[in-house]
Amino acid sequence: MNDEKIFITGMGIISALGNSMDETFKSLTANKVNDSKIDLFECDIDKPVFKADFLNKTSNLTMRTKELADIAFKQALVQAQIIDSDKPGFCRLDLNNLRVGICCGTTVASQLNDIEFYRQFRAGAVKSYDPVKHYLSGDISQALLLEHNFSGPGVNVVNACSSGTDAIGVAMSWIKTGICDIVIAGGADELNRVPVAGFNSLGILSDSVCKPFDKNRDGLNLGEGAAFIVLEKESTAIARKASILSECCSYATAVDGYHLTAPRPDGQGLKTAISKALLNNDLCAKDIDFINAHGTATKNNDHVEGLVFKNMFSQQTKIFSIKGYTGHTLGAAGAIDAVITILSLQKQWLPMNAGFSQEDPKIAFSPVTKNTSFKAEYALSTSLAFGGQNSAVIFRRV
Amino acid sequence: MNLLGKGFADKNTKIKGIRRADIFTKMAVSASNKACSEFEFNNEDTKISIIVATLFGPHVTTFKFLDNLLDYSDSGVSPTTFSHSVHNAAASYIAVSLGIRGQSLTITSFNDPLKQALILADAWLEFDQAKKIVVCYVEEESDPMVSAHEHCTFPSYAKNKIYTGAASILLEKGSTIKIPGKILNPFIYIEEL
Repeated sequence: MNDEKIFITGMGIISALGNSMDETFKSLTANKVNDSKIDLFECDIDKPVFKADFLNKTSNLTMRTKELADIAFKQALVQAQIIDSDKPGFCRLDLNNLRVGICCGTTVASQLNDIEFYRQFRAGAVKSYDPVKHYLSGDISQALLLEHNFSGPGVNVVNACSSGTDAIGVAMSWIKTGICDIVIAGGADELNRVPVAGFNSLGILSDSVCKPFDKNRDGLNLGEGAAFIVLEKESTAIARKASILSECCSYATAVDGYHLTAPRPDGQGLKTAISKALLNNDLCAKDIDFINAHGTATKNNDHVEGLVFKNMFSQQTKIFSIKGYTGHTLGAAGAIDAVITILSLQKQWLPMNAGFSQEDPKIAFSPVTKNTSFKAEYALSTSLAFGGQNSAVIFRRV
Repeated sequence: MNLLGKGFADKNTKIKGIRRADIFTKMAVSASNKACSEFEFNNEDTKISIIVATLFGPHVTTFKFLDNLLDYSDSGVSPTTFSHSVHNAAASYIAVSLGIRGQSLTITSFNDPLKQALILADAWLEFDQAKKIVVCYVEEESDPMVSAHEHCTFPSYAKNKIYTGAASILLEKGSTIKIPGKILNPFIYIEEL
């Protein structure tokens, strides 16, 4: 195992906030909430969603996740000076000597869920197997490895809503154990009829724009997007004179072992993940200046996160959730959270927690209620997921 | 890595206590329980972990969910079917069944997912992120995917026939298992360990 630091040298993002880092920051400073109606596919559920508006509607939505991934992935590589924006096919890395891996979190891209194809299949009248080919392109990590001639490994993390954070954790493991010098990790997910119907059936979609941590929160909004970060070991970053954006200090995860869809009510799994992430880097709770919470605006999630934060952190630790601006982007959420966390550390600035207006006495704290400039060195980002997943990642300003 | 136990399950597996789970999950839980039959994990120990690896995940359940959508409506689908169509449902059930509280990861890749899982397990054990890891490979055949294999050109790494079943191994730090170059059939590979 090597003890070198792991640095972030590139980031890319696309979501309802915009299709670049600049657009994202601009939208956040203006507190833009770009919710919309479901119009990418036929659906009899009328709930607000957060769409990445600048993409053309494609005939097969599985491809949309890959398109989202491509946009964020390219931005991250350009910022890390791995490729040039005008020559995306030319890699500046010495690929004979550097091992480059890709780890992508997703949910929708991992399923062959083309409804028209399946309707035809049931009727014994398949017109085209193109949807299957599109599904195969949904192995995002393998596709990106091949496109960029990277050595790998490449895997997709399918840990539901914590996939993006867990992909970063996998990347750190690969670097720390010498499997890779550089890993591009993140997540991508599209708006799709299957999760819309599925989350609706669970009764956790809100009829209005979501209200993370608010007393009157009544559910989440689904969103879509992608984000990637370039992680590399210190010596590699220094040798190739890469600009260092942040340090990725620590990651930990713990499973509740409690219930398929509900978090453990006492938050023990989340507490374990945060405690381990702090301990891994010899940090204590008071070192954390702000928390980018999972904060989906469901009754259960925000309640459990609130209990744990209140129990572990002081009043000085600022807390916010990005979901009021992006919706819940599922497999991309943890990666989008990571990028926003690093951006906030760089800018020393936090956006107001969109949707919040009234403190919940059961949580007994308020997230950031106005755009705030501050001094921060360490930030924590948390993700909770189906299956009782709890993940935590800590970044440091450099 | 050292091997501490292994277990297998097929689609006819019967397992108590998870009546609502789909076949994919039942196979994964059954194989993992067998692999760990000689061990009892302490709920306080957060260094016992799970990695589930699969090519296609619980796609039979995904198709069942699509049946719901086509036969009823977007608002008439089953929440149980939806929650079991999520890829990490099997890992969640394994955690509950074995009392595991450490890391839990489900990965997919059309390129040798079991090998990718073993690489990661080795890294976690070396790095002391885990002291024991259940690695489960699980797959379930479905009619649409069999048909797709007949009619589509799959990438070379995803061409292998889909077998239905689960195979789990319990690993600890050590040097008796070397990660092979390519695992053509995960079930045979685990059988021969």
